[in-house]
Amino acid sequence: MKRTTAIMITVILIAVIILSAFAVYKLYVAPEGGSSQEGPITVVDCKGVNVTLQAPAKTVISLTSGMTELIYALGCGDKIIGRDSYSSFPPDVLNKPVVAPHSYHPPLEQILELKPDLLVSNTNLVYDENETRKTLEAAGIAVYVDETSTPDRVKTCITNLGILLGVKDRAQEIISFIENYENLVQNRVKDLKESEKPKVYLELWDAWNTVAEGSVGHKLLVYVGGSNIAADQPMPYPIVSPEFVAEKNPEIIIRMKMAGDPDYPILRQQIMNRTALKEVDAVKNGKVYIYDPELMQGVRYPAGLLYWAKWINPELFEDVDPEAVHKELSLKFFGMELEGVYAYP
Amino acid sequence: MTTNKNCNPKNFYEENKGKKIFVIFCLLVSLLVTAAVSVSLGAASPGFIEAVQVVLSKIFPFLGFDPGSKITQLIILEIRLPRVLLAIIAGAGLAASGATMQGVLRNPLVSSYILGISAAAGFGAALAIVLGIGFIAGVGWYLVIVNAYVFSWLAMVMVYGIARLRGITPETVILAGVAIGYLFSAALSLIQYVAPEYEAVRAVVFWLMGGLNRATWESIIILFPIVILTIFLMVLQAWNINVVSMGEDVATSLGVTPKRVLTITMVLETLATASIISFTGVIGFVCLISPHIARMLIGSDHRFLIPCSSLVGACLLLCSDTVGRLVLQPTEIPVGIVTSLLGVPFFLYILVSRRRRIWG
Amino acid sequence: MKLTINHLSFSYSSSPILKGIDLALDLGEVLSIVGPNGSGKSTLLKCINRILKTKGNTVFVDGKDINKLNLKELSKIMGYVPQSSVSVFPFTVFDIVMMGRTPYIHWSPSEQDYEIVAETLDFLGLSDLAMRHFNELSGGEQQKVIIARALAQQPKILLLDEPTSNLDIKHQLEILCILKDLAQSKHCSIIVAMHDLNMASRFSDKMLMLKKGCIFAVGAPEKVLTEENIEAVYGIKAKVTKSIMGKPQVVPLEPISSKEVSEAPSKFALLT
Repeated sequence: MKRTTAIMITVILIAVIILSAFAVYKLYVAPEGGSSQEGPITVVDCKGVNVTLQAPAKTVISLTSGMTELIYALGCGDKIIGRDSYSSFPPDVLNKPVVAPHSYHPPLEQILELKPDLLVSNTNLVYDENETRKTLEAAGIAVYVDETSTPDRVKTCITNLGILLGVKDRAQEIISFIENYENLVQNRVKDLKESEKPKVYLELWDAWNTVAEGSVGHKLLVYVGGSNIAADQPMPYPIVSPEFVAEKNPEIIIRMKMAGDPDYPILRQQIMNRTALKEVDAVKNGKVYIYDPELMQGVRYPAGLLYWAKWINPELFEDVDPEAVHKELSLKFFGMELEGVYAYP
Repeated sequence: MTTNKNCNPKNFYEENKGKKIFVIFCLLVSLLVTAAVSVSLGAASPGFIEAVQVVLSKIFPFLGFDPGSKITQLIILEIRLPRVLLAIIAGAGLAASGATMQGVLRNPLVSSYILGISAAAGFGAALAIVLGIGFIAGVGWYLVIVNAYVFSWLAMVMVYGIARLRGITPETVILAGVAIGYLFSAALSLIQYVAPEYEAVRAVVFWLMGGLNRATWESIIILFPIVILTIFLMVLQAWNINVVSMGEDVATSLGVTPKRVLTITMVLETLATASIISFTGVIGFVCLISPHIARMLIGSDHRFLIPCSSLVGACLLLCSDTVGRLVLQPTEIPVGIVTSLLGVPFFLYILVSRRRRIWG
Repeated sequence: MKLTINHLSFSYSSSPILKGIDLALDLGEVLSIVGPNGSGKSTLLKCINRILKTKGNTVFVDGKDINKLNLKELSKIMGYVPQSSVSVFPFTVFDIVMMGRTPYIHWSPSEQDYEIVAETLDFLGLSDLAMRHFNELSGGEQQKVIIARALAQQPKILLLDEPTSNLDIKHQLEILCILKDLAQSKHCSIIVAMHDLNMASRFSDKMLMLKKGCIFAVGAPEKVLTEENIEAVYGIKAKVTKSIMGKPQVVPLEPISSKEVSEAPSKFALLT
């Protein structure tokens, strides 16, 4: 290459780099933090971040089905102006526009344009400490992040949302309802000795997928007075072998029903027909139960709790009718008649 | 044969060269047009005029362009522009690496990930995502980037080390790369299996799908110089790559040490690819197909092929990303899927319509 | 440029391929290397231009040990034409011949490089094919292009590995004539590994016959192509006559069964 061409190219390259650097410098918008000003309404979310509003939120976008449900239970369903694609309960929310497929790295343009007062989501939104929260807050949208998949946080969530949406009383009502049934269960099982707790095999998602210590399912099992046969497994969601379950001989088998599973009776029969399970107590005594995971969701979780409690220790909960409780909360919190089967048998 | 010395072959060659430069120029123009269009399109309303105004008002504040509302600014400057720029940079870098590796390894089926880099980066990212659990004020996103980057290099070093045992040739490098790739894939699956939190597993899956929705100005500031530098250095090696692509013995007889060229290009390639996928996750297919499209447009002379491939890659990735985020709003189709859907028919069309045999 | 080879030995891991090869080649000489398959012809060529590495003090060009030369320097002296060439990617003939200028190119080819390539193409009658794609050419044309590439290096020594094995008679003759012309007009020393004994005898000044990696006979074609030598090395009975050109012509008669092939010591024909 001739020297002049080489020099020309180098000069052009350097010029391009300098110009780009200049342009970037000018265009770079350092994301500011959220409105750090104090407001009359402040709550702390599960990440320890202060969420502030000047007044109760009038418009909300929810990127998590759990949160959507809570907002409806609080009677603020009409404040929702956008949802994620997974939010489908209560059915009324299906009329709301979908603004993001889910809460992990949601596309922000539409959300920014809709400019809700408040955006609620599960922790996926801020999972890797990305820019999403900062960008939303820079646009003046308050962001509340909490975990909706663990019953631990449900009550706090309800309280916080109640404050943010200006429906504290209603929030308290829901919490009392939940605590009522939590206490009921706890009181009856708290005196059970370890040996008195029936052995339970809990199966989620697919055959032989179970739960162990460290998982939400395990905690719930223990809470309602059961003994998890897979408690000591090394990972929270282990896949165990059929021999293991056969050997442990569970007295109760509880299985979560997934979207692709056959109908309840067929699924139950399939489980009872499994070679490894044919001789276990649970199958011999017909104590194989199937439940819909929605029962453990959000404000409906008391119903789920009661179903499990009754299945595991029927003698202690003879007077309790989980279905009735489910019907009650369905009407009370969602204004809906209970439809469909959520537990079997 | 009485042909004039100064005439036919040389003139044809010059003409040919002119055509090649013209092709590159056209690609450059298409890229700019595509970029302008991409910045103007999105789920929200700001369009071309607003975009131009926002950009100009920031760069030349004294000229009095209307900067638009805060929301418009955020949308253009924080969301769309970084994303468009990242698509261009990532597409260019991956495509250039792909072209270089195909030439040096004498294999048109090779991609930038042949050294097992994608699997290793995925493993590194998974390690960060899974280990980062439980720390509220954890190192988060930066740990993911750094991990992915470090492990990519680790893969390359391992491949190099293994290849050295049998001599650094395309065969050993490719085989070693495949092996290392599988090794890290398996390790990645293991991590996903034992992950204590289900959310972590999902996060890893999303990371692996790759995407440009994590575009930030920081990522552009880091990637732009790296990609420009590596492409520049690759082009400097272009002549040697031409020679090496004819065979080891031939290269040696022409005074080029194939081992040395291979080592240099491996390093450059890893630098570019690792840097890019640390930020974007694993975007597949661009690195494989852009060199082929470029080769059909401009021939195999790597001095032209590498820049042309970069431009093709940039256009391809930018188009794919734009289509991916607009077609099914607000869902975004992962960019790797769109690239395949758009790129493959286009590639087949060119393949079928030209009668020239592409490979020997 | 005088090429001297001193006791060249080479082995792939533990199997020896070449043992104790001695050779001297003068300016403008054409040497053909003949021998059965596996006798080490290709290997010898590759050792001469350092594609395969040998110990020091074996190959000398004008008194300089090639191992001490920079690879680029060496490629300005020696050109190499491999047995077959496959281009994985599509290159034009011009591009390929331009690759021959690699040892002289820094960033990009210069005016002079273009001139030389155009000249070389002209010399070989390839000007019309300059913009065609290499993979579209016939075998004979491809071979010429490869030779053109080696010639573009402006070598003083040209090494060719069976350049005519896959070609028809016309192309064989063309190429060998070009090589002879090269040796005479440009004073290029040429070493050709060949199968065809008759072509070798007709076009070479000197012949080297290899058997199992050792020199069996070396010298003028008349001295090397004798019926005893051919029987000992190739294991066939043949008749050697004089061709119209005055060079030895080999007419193969029948193969000998392996028991009869003797391990007779070579009748070493002296260098002339």
